[in-house]
Amino acid sequence: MIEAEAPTALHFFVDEAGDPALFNSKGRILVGEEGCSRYFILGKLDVADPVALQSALDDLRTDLLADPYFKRVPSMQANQRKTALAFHAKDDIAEVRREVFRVLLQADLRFYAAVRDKSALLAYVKQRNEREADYRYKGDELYDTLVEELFRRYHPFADDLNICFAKRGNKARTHAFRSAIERAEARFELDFGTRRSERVHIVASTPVENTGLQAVDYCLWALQRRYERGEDRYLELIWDKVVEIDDLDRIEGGRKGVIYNKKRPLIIDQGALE
Amino acid sequence: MEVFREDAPPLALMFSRNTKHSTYTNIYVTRQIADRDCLEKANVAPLYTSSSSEGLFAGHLSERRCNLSAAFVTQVTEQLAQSLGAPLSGDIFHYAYAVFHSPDYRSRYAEFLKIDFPRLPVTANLGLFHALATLGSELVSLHLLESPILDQPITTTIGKAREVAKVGWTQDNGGTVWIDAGGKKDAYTAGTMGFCGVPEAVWRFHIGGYQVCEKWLKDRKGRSLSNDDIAHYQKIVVALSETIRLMAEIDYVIDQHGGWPGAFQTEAPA
Repeated sequence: MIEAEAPTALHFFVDEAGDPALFNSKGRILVGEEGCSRYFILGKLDVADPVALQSALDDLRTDLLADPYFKRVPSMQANQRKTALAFHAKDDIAEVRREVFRVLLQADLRFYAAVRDKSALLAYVKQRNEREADYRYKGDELYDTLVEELFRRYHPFADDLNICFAKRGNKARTHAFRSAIERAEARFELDFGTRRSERVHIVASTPVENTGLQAVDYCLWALQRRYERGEDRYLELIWDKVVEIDDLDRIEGGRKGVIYNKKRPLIIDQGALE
Repeated sequence: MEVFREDAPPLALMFSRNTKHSTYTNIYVTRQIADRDCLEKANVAPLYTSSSSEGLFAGHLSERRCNLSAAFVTQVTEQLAQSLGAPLSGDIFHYAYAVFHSPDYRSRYAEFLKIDFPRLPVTANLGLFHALATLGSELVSLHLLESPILDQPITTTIGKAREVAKVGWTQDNGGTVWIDAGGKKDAYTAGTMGFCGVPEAVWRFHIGGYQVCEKWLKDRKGRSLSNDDIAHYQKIVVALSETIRLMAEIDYVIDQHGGWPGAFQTEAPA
Protein backbone atom coordinates (compact mmCIF):
# COMPACT_ATOMS: atom_id res chain seq x y z
CA MET A 1 0.00 0.00 0.00
CA ILE A 2 1.33 3.38 -0.91
CA GLU A 3 0.98 5.97 1.80
CA ALA A 4 -0.06 9.41 0.69
CA GLU A 5 2.56 12.02 1.48
CA ALA A 6 1.57 14.57 4.08
CA PRO A 7 0.80 17.94 2.49
CA THR A 8 3.65 20.38 2.74
CA ALA A 9 3.16 23.90 4.05
CA LEU A 10 5.02 27.16 3.96
CA HIS A 11 4.49 29.81 6.62
CA PHE A 12 5.24 33.35 5.53
CA PHE A 13 5.06 36.39 7.79
CA VAL A 14 4.95 39.76 6.07
CA ASP A 15 5.62 43.21 7.47
CA GLU A 16 6.98 46.57 6.40
CA ALA A 17 9.67 48.98 7.54
CA GLY A 18 9.55 52.69 6.87
CA ASP A 19 6.68 54.88 5.86
CA PRO A 20 5.17 54.69 2.37
CA ALA A 21 4.10 58.36 2.52
CA LEU A 22 5.70 60.77 0.03
CA PHE A 23 3.50 63.79 0.79
CA ASN A 24 1.74 65.19 3.80
CA SER A 25 -1.98 65.84 3.90
CA LYS A 26 -1.51 69.23 2.20
CA GLY A 27 0.51 67.74 -0.64
CA ARG A 28 3.87 68.98 0.56
CA ILE A 29 6.79 66.66 -0.14
CA LEU A 30 7.99 64.77 2.94
CA VAL A 31 10.84 62.82 1.36
CA GLY A 32 14.19 64.11 2.56
CA GLU A 33 12.77 65.72 5.67
CA GLU A 34 13.85 64.69 9.13
CA GLY A 35 11.67 61.95 10.52
CA CYS A 36 10.68 60.68 7.09
CA SER A 37 12.25 57.37 6.09
CA ARG A 38 14.31 57.37 2.92
CA TYR A 39 13.32 53.83 2.03
CA PHE A 40 10.24 51.71 2.20
CA ILE A 41 10.88 48.03 2.73
CA LEU A 42 8.56 45.06 2.62
CA GLY A 43 9.82 41.78 4.03
CA LYS A 44 8.59 38.23 4.22
CA LEU A 45 9.95 35.64 6.58
CA ASP A 46 9.61 31.93 5.90
CA VAL A 47 9.33 30.25 9.30
CA ALA A 48 9.76 26.48 9.17
CA ASP A 49 8.22 25.88 12.58
CA PRO A 50 6.08 28.80 13.81
CA VAL A 51 5.05 26.91 16.95
CA ALA A 52 8.67 26.32 18.01
CA LEU A 53 9.54 29.94 17.26
CA GLN A 54 6.60 31.16 19.32
CA SER A 55 7.63 28.93 22.19
CA ALA A 56 11.25 30.13 22.07
CA LEU A 57 10.32 33.82 21.97
CA ASP A 58 7.64 33.44 24.64
CA ASP A 59 10.15 31.70 26.91
CA LEU A 60 12.66 34.46 26.27
CA ARG A 61 10.11 37.16 27.10
CA THR A 62 9.16 35.38 30.30
CA ASP A 63 12.82 35.10 31.33
CA LEU A 64 13.60 38.73 30.54
CA LEU A 65 10.53 40.08 32.30
CA ALA A 66 11.35 38.02 35.38
CA ASP A 67 14.94 39.24 35.45
CA PRO A 68 15.35 42.02 38.04
CA TYR A 69 18.00 43.55 35.81
CA PHE A 70 15.22 44.86 33.55
CA LYS A 71 12.69 45.59 36.27
CA ARG A 72 12.69 49.34 35.80
CA VAL A 73 13.09 49.50 32.02
CA PRO A 74 10.10 51.57 30.83
CA SER A 75 9.48 49.61 27.62
CA MET A 76 9.28 46.40 29.63
CA GLN A 77 6.50 47.54 31.93
CA ALA A 78 3.18 45.82 31.32
CA ASN A 79 1.28 49.11 31.15
CA GLN A 80 3.49 50.30 28.28
CA ARG A 81 2.20 47.39 26.16
CA LYS A 82 5.54 47.06 24.41
CA THR A 83 8.18 44.41 25.17
CA ALA A 84 5.95 42.91 27.85
CA LEU A 85 3.48 41.96 25.12
CA ALA A 86 5.59 41.48 22.00
CA PHE A 87 9.13 42.06 20.85
CA HIS A 88 9.45 45.07 18.60
CA ALA A 89 12.97 46.01 17.61
CA LYS A 90 12.37 49.76 17.62
CA ASP A 91 10.96 49.76 21.15
CA ASP A 92 13.13 47.05 22.68
CA ILE A 93 16.32 48.04 24.48
CA ALA A 94 19.67 46.96 23.07
CA GLU A 95 20.17 44.12 25.55
CA VAL A 96 16.76 42.68 24.70
CA ARG A 97 17.45 42.98 20.97
CA ARG A 98 20.62 40.99 21.40
CA GLU A 99 18.73 38.18 23.12
CA VAL A 100 15.99 38.16 20.48
CA PHE A 101 18.55 37.97 17.70
CA ARG A 102 20.20 35.10 19.56
CA VAL A 103 16.91 33.17 19.49
CA LEU A 104 16.23 34.03 15.85
CA LEU A 105 19.65 32.79 14.81
CA GLN A 106 18.81 29.39 16.26
CA ALA A 107 15.50 29.16 14.38
CA ASP A 108 14.96 27.81 10.87
CA LEU A 109 14.16 31.04 9.00
CA ARG A 110 14.52 32.48 5.50
CA PHE A 111 14.14 36.19 4.92
CA TYR A 112 13.22 37.97 1.68
CA ALA A 113 12.74 41.70 1.18
CA ALA A 114 11.96 44.28 -1.48
CA VAL A 115 13.32 47.80 -1.06
CA ARG A 116 12.15 51.01 -2.66
CA ASP A 117 14.09 54.25 -2.57
CA LYS A 118 11.44 56.91 -1.90
CA SER A 119 13.33 59.65 -3.70
CA ALA A 120 13.31 57.51 -6.88
CA LEU A 121 9.65 56.78 -6.29
CA LEU A 122 8.97 60.49 -5.88
CA ALA A 123 10.64 61.21 -9.21
CA TYR A 124 8.42 58.57 -10.82
CA VAL A 125 5.29 60.06 -9.23
CA LYS A 126 6.21 63.54 -10.48
CA GLN A 127 6.77 62.25 -14.00
CA ARG A 128 3.49 60.40 -13.95
CA ASN A 129 1.66 63.46 -12.70
CA GLU A 130 2.97 65.36 -15.69
CA ARG A 131 1.43 62.72 -17.96
CA GLU A 132 -1.73 62.07 -15.91
CA ALA A 133 -2.98 65.14 -14.08
CA ASP A 134 -5.58 63.09 -12.16
CA TYR A 135 -3.09 60.57 -10.81
CA ARG A 136 -2.68 60.70 -7.03
CA TYR A 137 -0.06 58.60 -5.28
CA LYS A 138 -1.28 56.52 -2.31
CA GLY A 139 0.81 54.60 0.19
CA ASP A 140 -1.31 51.50 -0.29
CA GLU A 141 -0.33 51.46 -3.93
CA LEU A 142 3.35 51.17 -3.00
CA TYR A 143 2.56 48.49 -0.46
CA ASP A 144 0.54 46.41 -2.91
CA THR A 145 3.11 46.61 -5.70
CA LEU A 146 5.82 45.52 -3.30
CA VAL A 147 3.69 42.60 -2.12
CA GLU A 148 3.35 41.52 -5.72
CA GLU A 149 7.06 42.01 -6.33
CA LEU A 150 7.99 40.09 -3.21
CA PHE A 151 5.76 37.12 -3.96
CA ARG A 152 6.31 36.86 -7.70
CA ARG A 153 9.93 35.94 -7.11
CA TYR A 154 11.04 32.40 -6.41
CA HIS A 155 10.15 30.69 -3.18
CA PRO A 156 9.81 26.95 -2.50
CA PHE A 157 6.83 24.92 -3.69
CA ALA A 158 4.33 23.70 -1.08
CA ASP A 159 0.80 22.35 -1.00
CA ASP A 160 -0.30 25.03 1.41
CA LEU A 161 0.94 28.59 1.45
CA ASN A 162 0.05 30.24 4.76
CA ILE A 163 0.62 33.98 4.72
CA CYS A 164 0.22 36.12 7.78
CA PHE A 165 0.67 39.82 7.21
CA ALA A 166 0.80 42.58 9.77
CA LYS A 167 -2.27 44.75 10.06
CA ARG A 168 -1.43 48.26 8.99
CA GLY A 169 -2.96 50.63 11.51
CA ASN A 170 -6.66 49.85 11.72
CA LYS A 171 -6.78 48.47 8.20
CA ALA A 172 -6.68 44.74 7.56
CA ARG A 173 -6.77 45.14 3.74
CA THR A 174 -6.89 41.36 3.35
CA HIS A 175 -8.71 41.65 0.04
CA ALA A 176 -6.10 43.94 -1.51
CA PHE A 177 -3.34 41.77 -0.12
CA ARG A 178 -4.95 38.65 -1.59
CA SER A 179 -5.32 40.35 -4.97
CA ALA A 180 -1.63 41.23 -4.96
CA ILE A 181 -0.70 37.64 -4.04
CA GLU A 182 -2.92 36.26 -6.76
CA ARG A 183 -1.36 38.55 -9.32
CA ALA A 184 2.07 37.41 -8.18
CA GLU A 185 1.09 33.73 -8.42
CA ALA A 186 -0.40 34.30 -11.85
CA ARG A 187 2.82 35.94 -13.03
CA PHE A 188 4.83 33.03 -11.65
CA GLU A 189 2.52 30.56 -13.45
CA LEU A 190 2.87 32.53 -16.66
CA ASP A 191 6.65 32.58 -16.36
CA PHE A 192 7.18 28.98 -15.28
CA GLY A 193 4.04 27.16 -16.35
CA THR A 194 3.08 25.84 -12.94
CA ARG A 195 1.48 27.00 -9.69
CA ARG A 196 3.53 26.79 -6.55
CA SER A 197 0.77 26.03 -4.08
CA GLU A 198 -2.60 24.30 -4.19
CA ARG A 199 -4.02 26.44 -1.47
CA VAL A 200 -3.20 29.92 -0.27
CA HIS A 201 -4.40 31.02 3.18
CA ILE A 202 -4.10 34.68 4.06
CA VAL A 203 -4.70 36.29 7.44
CA ALA A 204 -4.07 39.77 8.79
CA SER A 205 -2.77 39.72 12.32
CA THR A 206 -0.74 41.51 14.98
CA PRO A 207 2.67 40.68 16.48
CA VAL A 208 1.01 39.87 19.79
CA GLU A 209 -1.17 37.25 18.12
CA ASN A 210 1.49 35.92 15.76
CA THR A 211 5.08 35.63 16.93
CA GLY A 212 6.30 35.25 13.36
CA LEU A 213 5.47 38.93 12.87
CA GLN A 214 7.85 39.81 15.72
CA ALA A 215 10.57 37.83 13.97
CA VAL A 216 10.04 39.50 10.60
CA ASP A 217 10.01 42.88 12.36
CA TYR A 218 13.49 42.17 13.69
CA CYS A 219 14.79 41.12 10.27
CA LEU A 220 13.31 44.25 8.72
CA TRP A 221 14.79 46.43 11.45
CA ALA A 222 18.24 44.95 10.74
CA LEU A 223 17.85 45.68 7.03
CA GLN A 224 16.44 49.15 7.66
CA ARG A 225 19.44 50.05 9.85
CA ARG A 226 21.60 49.11 6.88
CA TYR A 227 19.69 51.32 4.46
CA GLU A 228 18.77 54.25 6.66
CA ARG A 229 21.88 54.51 8.84
CA GLY A 230 24.57 52.52 7.06
CA GLU A 231 24.88 50.17 10.04
CA ASP A 232 25.84 46.76 8.71
CA ARG A 233 26.32 44.81 11.89
CA TYR A 234 22.74 43.73 12.45
CA LEU A 235 22.27 42.62 8.86
CA GLU A 236 25.58 40.79 8.97
CA LEU A 237 24.36 39.04 12.09
CA ILE A 238 21.29 37.61 10.34
CA TRP A 239 22.81 37.30 6.87
CA ASP A 240 22.69 33.48 7.05
CA LYS A 241 18.91 33.82 7.21
CA VAL A 242 18.66 36.14 4.22
CA VAL A 243 17.68 34.59 0.89
CA GLU A 244 17.49 37.74 -1.18
CA ILE A 245 17.05 41.50 -1.01
CA ASP A 246 15.46 43.04 -4.08
CA ASP A 247 16.70 46.63 -4.28
CA LEU A 248 14.30 47.89 -6.92
CA ASP A 249 15.77 51.34 -7.47
CA ARG A 250 19.45 50.57 -7.36
CA ILE A 251 21.03 51.25 -10.75
CA GLU A 252 24.12 49.32 -11.78
CA GLY A 253 25.60 48.88 -15.23
CA GLY A 254 22.78 50.90 -16.73
CA ARG A 255 20.17 48.51 -15.33
CA LYS A 256 17.70 49.32 -12.64
CA GLY A 257 17.23 46.84 -9.85
CA VAL A 258 19.78 44.71 -8.03
CA ILE A 259 19.23 41.42 -6.26
CA TYR A 260 21.43 40.84 -3.23
CA ASN A 261 21.82 37.27 -2.07
CA LYS A 262 24.42 34.81 -0.79
CA LYS A 263 26.41 35.11 -4.00
CA ARG A 264 26.16 38.85 -3.93
CA PRO A 265 26.09 40.05 -0.34
CA LEU A 266 24.74 43.45 0.54
CA ILE A 267 27.75 45.21 2.01
CA ILE A 268 28.62 48.82 2.62
CA ASP A 269 31.10 49.32 -0.23
CA GLN A 270 28.45 48.47 -2.78
CA GLY A 271 27.22 51.97 -2.24
CA ALA A 272 23.53 51.34 -1.74
CA LEU A 273 23.53 54.44 0.42
CA GLU A 274 24.59 56.78 -2.32
CA MET B 1 25.33 74.92 35.80
CA GLU B 2 25.53 71.69 37.79
CA VAL B 3 28.74 71.46 39.77
CA PHE B 4 30.36 69.43 42.50
CA ARG B 5 29.91 71.12 45.84
CA GLU B 6 33.01 72.60 47.31
CA ASP B 7 31.80 72.76 50.89
CA ALA B 8 30.99 69.09 51.34
CA PRO B 9 32.90 65.99 50.31
CA PRO B 10 31.53 65.25 46.85
CA LEU B 11 30.91 61.66 45.98
CA ALA B 12 30.44 60.56 42.42
CA LEU B 13 29.98 57.26 40.66
CA MET B 14 32.20 56.68 37.67
CA PHE B 15 31.02 54.17 35.11
CA SER B 16 31.19 53.28 31.48
CA ARG B 17 30.25 50.52 29.10
CA ASN B 18 32.55 47.57 28.81
CA THR B 19 33.60 47.56 25.20
CA LYS B 20 36.98 45.86 25.30
CA HIS B 21 37.30 43.41 28.13
CA SER B 22 35.80 40.04 28.96
CA THR B 23 35.07 41.04 32.55
CA TYR B 24 33.21 44.16 33.60
CA THR B 25 35.40 46.37 35.80
CA ASN B 26 34.31 49.83 34.70
CA ILE B 27 32.93 51.07 38.02
CA TYR B 28 34.72 53.37 40.39
CA VAL B 29 34.12 56.22 42.78
CA THR B 30 35.67 59.66 43.19
CA ARG B 31 35.47 62.78 45.26
CA GLN B 32 37.28 64.85 42.67
CA ILE B 33 36.75 66.03 39.15
CA ALA B 34 37.87 62.98 37.21
CA ASP B 35 39.78 62.36 34.02
CA ARG B 36 37.32 61.03 31.46
CA ASP B 37 39.80 58.45 30.18
CA CYS B 38 40.38 56.70 33.47
CA LEU B 39 37.57 54.19 32.83
CA GLU B 40 37.31 53.93 29.06
CA LYS B 41 35.52 57.26 28.62
CA ALA B 42 33.96 57.32 32.03
CA ASN B 43 30.68 58.96 32.84
CA VAL B 44 30.71 60.69 36.20
CA ALA B 45 27.46 60.93 38.15
CA PRO B 46 27.75 63.00 41.33
CA LEU B 47 25.48 61.95 44.14
CA TYR B 48 24.66 65.61 44.84
CA THR B 49 24.71 68.66 42.64
CA SER B 50 24.35 72.37 43.27
CA SER B 51 23.31 75.10 40.90
CA SER B 52 25.20 78.27 40.15
CA SER B 53 24.36 80.72 37.42
CA GLU B 54 27.75 82.35 37.82
CA GLY B 55 29.81 79.46 36.61
CA LEU B 56 31.88 76.67 38.05
CA PHE B 57 34.13 78.88 40.16
CA ALA B 58 31.46 81.12 41.65
CA GLY B 59 31.76 81.60 45.36
CA HIS B 60 28.13 81.05 46.21
CA LEU B 61 26.33 77.83 45.49
CA SER B 62 22.70 77.12 46.15
CA GLU B 63 21.52 74.29 48.36
CA ARG B 64 22.69 70.87 47.27
CA ARG B 65 20.29 68.63 45.44
CA CYS B 66 20.27 64.83 45.36
CA ASN B 67 21.14 63.64 41.89
CA LEU B 68 18.91 60.57 42.17
CA SER B 69 15.50 61.15 40.67
CA ALA B 70 12.69 61.52 43.17
CA ALA B 71 10.73 58.87 41.30
CA PHE B 72 13.58 56.39 41.65
CA VAL B 73 14.01 57.07 45.37
CA THR B 74 10.26 56.69 45.85
CA GLN B 75 10.29 53.42 43.96
CA VAL B 76 13.16 52.06 46.04
CA THR B 77 11.42 53.16 49.21
CA GLU B 78 8.17 51.53 48.18
CA GLN B 79 9.93 48.34 47.22
CA LEU B 80 11.67 48.20 50.53
CA ALA B 81 8.37 48.93 52.29
CA GLN B 82 10.36 51.25 54.53
CA SER B 83 8.42 52.23 57.60
CA LEU B 84 11.19 54.49 58.83
CA GLY B 85 11.08 56.84 55.87
CA ALA B 86 13.08 56.95 52.68
CA PRO B 87 16.51 55.38 52.63
CA LEU B 88 19.30 57.91 52.56
CA SER B 89 20.57 58.68 49.10
CA GLY B 90 24.02 57.64 50.32
CA ASP B 91 22.64 54.22 51.19
CA ILE B 92 21.31 53.82 47.67
CA PHE B 93 24.67 54.90 46.29
CA HIS B 94 26.51 52.36 48.44
CA TYR B 95 23.97 49.66 47.61
CA ALA B 96 24.49 50.29 43.90
CA TYR B 97 28.25 50.27 44.33
CA ALA B 98 28.06 46.88 46.02
CA VAL B 99 25.76 45.36 43.39
CA PHE B 100 28.03 46.57 40.58
CA HIS B 101 30.95 44.87 42.34
CA SER B 102 29.20 41.53 42.68
CA PRO B 103 31.22 38.97 40.68
CA ASP B 104 27.98 37.07 39.98
CA TYR B 105 26.33 40.25 38.67
CA ARG B 106 29.30 40.90 36.44
CA SER B 107 29.33 37.41 34.98
CA ARG B 108 25.55 36.93 34.82
CA TYR B 109 25.05 40.17 32.90
CA ALA B 110 28.41 40.25 31.11
CA GLU B 111 26.83 40.28 27.65
CA PHE B 112 24.43 43.08 28.58
CA LEU B 113 27.23 45.11 30.13
CA LYS B 114 29.02 45.08 26.77
CA ILE B 115 26.03 46.68 25.10
CA ASP B 116 24.75 49.28 27.50
CA PHE B 117 25.41 50.93 30.84
CA PRO B 118 24.92 48.80 33.94
CA ARG B 119 21.36 48.54 35.17
CA LEU B 120 20.64 48.38 38.87
CA PRO B 121 18.39 45.60 40.19
CA VAL B 122 16.72 46.83 43.35
CA THR B 123 15.84 44.38 46.06
CA ALA B 124 12.64 44.43 48.07
CA ASN B 125 14.48 42.83 50.97
CA LEU B 126 15.43 45.46 53.54
CA GLY B 127 17.99 43.15 55.18
CA LEU B 128 19.78 42.56 51.90
CA PHE B 129 19.62 46.25 51.04
CA HIS B 130 21.28 47.24 54.29
CA ALA B 131 23.88 44.46 54.10
CA LEU B 132 24.86 45.48 50.57
CA ALA B 133 24.83 49.18 51.43
CA THR B 134 27.24 48.44 54.29
CA LEU B 135 29.58 46.44 52.06
CA GLY B 136 29.33 49.11 49.37
CA SER B 137 30.21 51.76 51.91
CA GLU B 138 33.34 49.80 52.85
CA LEU B 139 34.29 49.50 49.19
CA VAL B 140 33.81 53.23 48.65
CA SER B 141 35.95 53.99 51.65
CA LEU B 142 38.69 51.70 50.34
CA HIS B 143 38.62 53.04 46.82
CA LEU B 144 38.83 56.62 48.04
CA LEU B 145 41.80 55.50 50.18
CA GLU B 146 39.97 56.75 53.27
CA SER B 147 39.55 53.50 55.18
CA PRO B 148 41.59 53.13 58.39
CA ILE B 149 42.33 49.53 57.31
CA LEU B 150 44.73 50.98 54.77
CA ASP B 151 47.06 52.04 57.56
CA GLN B 152 47.86 48.41 58.22
CA PRO B 153 50.00 47.36 55.27
CA ILE B 154 50.13 43.71 54.24
CA THR B 155 53.31 44.20 52.26
CA THR B 156 56.93 44.81 53.11
CA THR B 157 59.59 46.27 50.89
CA ILE B 158 62.78 44.55 49.87
CA GLY B 159 65.94 46.15 48.46
CA LYS B 160 67.19 49.71 48.46
CA ALA B 161 66.78 50.74 44.82
CA ARG B 162 64.03 53.31 44.20
CA GLU B 163 63.98 53.90 40.45
CA VAL B 164 61.15 52.17 38.59
CA ALA B 165 62.38 50.18 35.60
CA LYS B 166 60.60 47.02 34.46
CA VAL B 167 57.55 46.20 36.60
CA GLY B 168 56.83 42.51 37.11
CA TRP B 169 55.48 40.00 39.59
CA THR B 170 56.97 36.71 40.78
CA GLN B 171 55.83 34.19 43.36
CA ASP B 172 58.80 34.90 45.65
CA ASN B 173 58.04 35.83 49.28
CA GLY B 174 54.32 35.15 48.95
CA GLY B 175 54.20 37.22 45.78
CA THR B 176 56.47 40.14 45.02
CA VAL B 177 55.99 43.10 42.71
CA TRP B 178 59.42 44.12 41.44
CA ILE B 179 60.17 47.59 40.17
CA ASP B 180 63.27 46.25 38.41
CA ALA B 181 62.15 42.79 37.35
CA GLY B 182 64.02 40.63 34.88
CA GLY B 183 62.58 38.36 32.19
CA LYS B 184 59.51 39.01 30.08
CA LYS B 185 55.75 39.37 30.59
CA ASP B 186 54.24 36.30 32.27
CA ALA B 187 57.78 34.96 32.88
CA TYR B 188 59.30 37.64 35.08
CA THR B 189 62.31 36.95 37.23
CA ALA B 190 63.15 38.53 40.56
CA GLY B 191 64.73 41.97 40.68
CA THR B 192 66.43 43.74 43.58
CA MET B 193 63.67 46.02 44.89
CA GLY B 194 60.04 45.16 45.32
CA PHE B 195 56.93 44.89 47.45
CA CYS B 196 56.64 41.49 49.13
CA GLY B 197 53.33 39.89 50.11
CA VAL B 198 51.30 40.85 47.06
CA PRO B 199 49.02 37.89 46.25
CA GLU B 200 48.62 36.97 42.59
CA ALA B 201 44.90 37.88 42.67
CA VAL B 202 45.81 41.38 43.83
CA TRP B 203 48.54 41.70 41.20
CA ARG B 204 46.10 40.68 38.46
CA PHE B 205 43.15 42.77 39.71
CA HIS B 206 41.75 45.15 37.11
CA ILE B 207 39.71 48.35 37.43
CA GLY B 208 38.48 50.07 34.30
CA GLY B 209 40.52 47.73 32.17
CA TYR B 210 43.76 48.60 33.97
CA GLN B 211 45.84 46.17 35.99
CA VAL B 212 46.13 48.49 38.96
CA CYS B 213 49.29 47.19 40.67
CA GLU B 214 51.19 47.23 37.40
CA LYS B 215 49.71 50.42 35.97
CA TRP B 216 50.48 52.62 38.97
CA LEU B 217 54.16 51.70 38.90
CA LYS B 218 54.48 51.71 35.10
CA ASP B 219 53.18 55.28 35.08
CA ARG B 220 56.19 56.14 37.25
CA LYS B 221 58.76 54.39 35.09
CA GLY B 222 62.12 56.17 35.24
CA ARG B 223 61.22 57.94 38.46
CA SER B 224 62.49 57.27 41.97
CA LEU B 225 59.81 56.31 44.45
CA SER B 226 59.62 58.51 47.53
CA ASN B 227 58.65 57.20 50.94
CA ASP B 228 55.18 58.64 50.36
CA ASP B 229 54.95 56.81 47.04
CA ILE B 230 55.88 53.54 48.73
CA ALA B 231 53.33 54.10 51.49
CA HIS B 232 50.70 54.98 48.88
CA TYR B 233 51.41 51.83 46.88
CA GLN B 234 51.13 49.74 50.00
CA LYS B 235 47.72 51.28 50.63
CA ILE B 236 46.67 50.39 47.11
CA VAL B 237 47.63 46.77 47.72
CA VAL B 238 45.57 46.67 50.91
CA ALA B 239 42.64 48.32 49.14
CA LEU B 240 42.71 45.77 46.34
CA SER B 241 43.10 42.86 48.71
CA GLU B 242 40.13 44.05 50.74
CA THR B 243 38.15 44.71 47.57
CA ILE B 244 38.60 41.09 46.52
CA ARG B 245 37.47 39.95 49.96
CA LEU B 246 34.44 42.25 49.96
CA MET B 247 33.42 41.25 46.45
CA ALA B 248 33.29 37.63 47.56
CA GLU B 249 31.32 38.69 50.61
CA ILE B 250 28.84 40.57 48.45
CA ASP B 251 28.08 37.39 46.51
CA TYR B 252 27.86 35.43 49.75
CA VAL B 253 25.32 37.90 51.17
CA ILE B 254 23.26 37.78 47.99
CA ASP B 255 23.33 33.98 48.08
CA GLN B 256 22.17 34.04 51.69
CA HIS B 257 19.15 36.10 50.61
CA GLY B 258 18.12 33.81 47.77
CA GLY B 259 20.84 34.39 45.15
CA TRP B 260 20.28 35.65 41.61
CA PRO B 261 17.63 36.55 40.61
CA GLY B 262 15.44 35.67 43.63
CA ALA B 263 17.13 38.07 46.02
CA PHE B 264 16.19 40.95 43.73
CA GLN B 265 12.57 40.13 43.05
CA THR B 266 10.42 43.08 43.92
CA GLU B 267 7.92 41.25 46.10
CA ALA B 268 8.97 41.53 49.73
CA PRO B 269 9.62 38.25 51.51
CA ALA B 270 6.75 37.00 53.66
